[in-house]
Amino acid sequence: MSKPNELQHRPLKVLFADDEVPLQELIADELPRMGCRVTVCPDGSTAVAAIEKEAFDCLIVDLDMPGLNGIQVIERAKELSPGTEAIVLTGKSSKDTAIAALRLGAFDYLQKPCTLIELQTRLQRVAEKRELTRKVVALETRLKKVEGSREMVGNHPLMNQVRRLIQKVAPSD
Amino acid sequence: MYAGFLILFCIVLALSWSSFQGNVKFRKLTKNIRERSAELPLAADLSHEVNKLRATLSQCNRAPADKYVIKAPIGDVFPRFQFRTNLASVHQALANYVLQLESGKTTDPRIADITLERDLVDQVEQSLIEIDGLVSHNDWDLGSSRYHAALEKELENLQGLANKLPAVLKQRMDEFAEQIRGEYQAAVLVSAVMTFIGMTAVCVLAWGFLKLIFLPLECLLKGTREVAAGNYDYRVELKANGEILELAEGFNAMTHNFQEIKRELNHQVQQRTKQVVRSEQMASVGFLAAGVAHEINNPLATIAWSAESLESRLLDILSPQVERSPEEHDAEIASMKKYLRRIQDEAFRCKGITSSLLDFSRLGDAKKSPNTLGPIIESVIEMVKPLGRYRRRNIDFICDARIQVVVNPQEVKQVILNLVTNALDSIDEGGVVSVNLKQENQRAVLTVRDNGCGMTEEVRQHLFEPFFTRRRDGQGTGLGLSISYRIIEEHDGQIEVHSEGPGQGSTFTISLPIYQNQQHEQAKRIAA
Repeated sequence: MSKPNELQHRPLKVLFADDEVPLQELIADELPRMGCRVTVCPDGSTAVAAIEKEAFDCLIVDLDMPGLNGIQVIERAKELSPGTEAIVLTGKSSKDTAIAALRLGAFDYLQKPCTLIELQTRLQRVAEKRELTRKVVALETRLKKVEGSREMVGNHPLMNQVRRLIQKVAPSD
Repeated sequence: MYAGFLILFCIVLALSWSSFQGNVKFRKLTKNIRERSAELPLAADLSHEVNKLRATLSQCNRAPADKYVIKAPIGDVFPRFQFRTNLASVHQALANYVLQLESGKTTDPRIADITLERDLVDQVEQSLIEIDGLVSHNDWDLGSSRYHAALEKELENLQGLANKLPAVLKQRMDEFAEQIRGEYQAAVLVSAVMTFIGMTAVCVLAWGFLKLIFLPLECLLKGTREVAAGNYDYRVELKANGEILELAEGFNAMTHNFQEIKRELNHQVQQRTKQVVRSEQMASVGFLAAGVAHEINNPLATIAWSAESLESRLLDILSPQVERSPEEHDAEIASMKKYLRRIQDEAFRCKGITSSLLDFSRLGDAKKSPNTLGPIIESVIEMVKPLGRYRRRNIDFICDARIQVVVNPQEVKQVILNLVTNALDSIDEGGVVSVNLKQENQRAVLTVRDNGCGMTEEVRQHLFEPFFTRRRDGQGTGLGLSISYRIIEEHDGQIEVHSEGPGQGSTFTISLPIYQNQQHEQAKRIAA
C-alpha cells in the first residue's frame, strides 16, 4: 500500500469513534499502515474528551453511537479547533443525517461498508488540504516579508475600480 | 283431518236435523192432541145431555088415569116439554160431536182412527131414532105404558153408549200416550247415542288437532326459539305430514341456508383476518428487516476492510522489494490470521442476524401446537435487543421455563414483538422493559412492563382498536395491538393493559391457558 504521507512532513492525527469493537481494532491496525496516528474511541463522550485534550487533523465518526452522537462530536470539534476535518462514517443510509453532517462542515460522507481505499483517498485529500493550507500560509508570510504592506498603492479611478472588484470577489472562494 | 271434520259436520247435521224433526213431531203431536181433545168436552156434553134426558124421563111418569082426561096440570105438561127439549139438546150435542169428529184434521194415524167413535155414534143415532120413534107415541110418558118402559130401556142403552164415548176417547188417548212414551224413550236413546258419538268425535278431533297441529306447532316454535338463540345446528324433526311438514322442512331449509351463509361469511372473515394478520406480520418483518439491514452493515464493513487489508498485506509479503526482519514477518502473519478469524466471526454474526430475521418472517399456515413459551419470547427479545434504535435500552427477562401452551408460534412471536417494541419505543435511553412469564391458576401469564411514557385512561380504552396509533414517531400501521388482541383471543387468552397514567409506565398482561397434558403430568407428579 502506498503511503499517503509522502507529501506530509508529519503524519495525520486521526480520531476514530465507533462503537463496533471489530472496526475499532481494524482501524487501530490499518490507519498506522496508511501513515496516520490514530486514537480510537468507543463512544461519543470519550471522543469529545479526547478532542478537548488534544487537537486532531481529522475525525472519522460513526453517526449512531452511545452517549453523544457523531453530529455532536463534530460540532464540539469545530468549536475547539475550526481546522479539524471530519469524515462521517455510518451504517444507516439516511440522507438527512449525511446532509446535516455536511452542513456542519464535515469533509466527506462514507457509508458502511466501504473500502479502505475510499477511506485512504479521503485521508489523502485531507492531508493534501492541510499541506496546501500550510503552504499558502507560509507563502503569504513570505510575500508579506518581501512586499511589506499588503496595502495596494495608487488612487487612480481605474485602480479604485480594481479595488472594489477585488472586495466584491474576495469573499467568494 | 278432513275426514274428522266431515264426521263432525255430519254429526252436527244429524243432531240438528233430529232436533228439528223432534220439534216438528212435537208440534204435530200437540196439534193432533188439541184436535182430539176438542172432542172430549163435546162427548162429555153429549153424555151430560143424555143423563139429563134420562133424569127428565123419570119425572115424566104420570098415572094411567090421566090417560083419558087431558087436564094435565102445568106440572104434568112441563116434564114432557122438558123431555122433548132435552132430547133436542141431545140431538144437538150429538150433531156437534159428529161435526167435530168428522171435521177433525188429525193426521196421526194412531189417534186419527175414529171407526170406534163412528160405530158408537151410529149406535147413538140408532138409539135416538128409536127414542124418537117411541116418543112419537102419545102415551110414552105413561108410567104403565109399554112405550115408557121401552123408552126407559132405550134411554138406559143410550146413556150407556153416550157414557162410553168419552171413555173410548180417553182409552184411545191413554194408548196413544203409551205409544208416544215408547217413541220418546227410543228418541232419548237415539239422541243419547248420537250425543255420545258426537262427544267421541269431538274428543278424537281435539286429540287429532293436538297431535297434528298443536304439537307440531309447539315443536316449530321450540325450533325457532333455538335458532333465534343461536343454535344453528338445530333441526326440527316432525312426524307430521301435509302443510305442517312442509313448514318444518321449509324452516329447516331456511336454517340450513342461514347456517351455510354464516359459515361462508365466517370463512371470508377468517380469510380476511388472516390476510390482515399476515400483512401486519409483513409490516413487522419489514420493520425488523430495516433494523437488521443497518446492523448487518457493521460486520460487512469489518469483513470488507479486513479482506482489503489482507490483500494489501499479502501483496506486501509477496513483493520482493519489501525487506522485513523474521520477527516482523511473523507479526504480519499473526495479524493476517487474526484478520481471517475476524472475517469468519463477522460472517457468522451476519448469519445470526439474518437467520433470526428469517425465522421470524417464516410465513405460512403454522398450526397451533404445544410449545414451550420461554424460548419463543427469548428469540424475539434476542432479535430486538441488537437493533440500533433500541441498543441503549434494557430488557429484563424472567421466565418459568416449564410453561407450555398450545399456540401458533409465529403469531405469538408477532404479539410479543409488538408488545416489546411498543414498550421499547415508549421508554427513553437507559429505560428498562421487564418481561416476565409465570404460571397462575393453570394459566400462563406474560407481563411486559415498561417505565416509559404511560398513557391516559382514554388512550387505554381505545388502545386495542384498529388504526389507533400513538407512536411518538408517527410510524406504524395502527393495527399492531388490535391484531395482537385478535390473535390472543383466538388462542382463548386475554390481553389487558394497565397504566397509572401518563409518565407512569404501562403494563401489558397476556394470559393463555396452560397446555392440558402438562397439567395432567404435573398433577401426576404431585400425586406421586
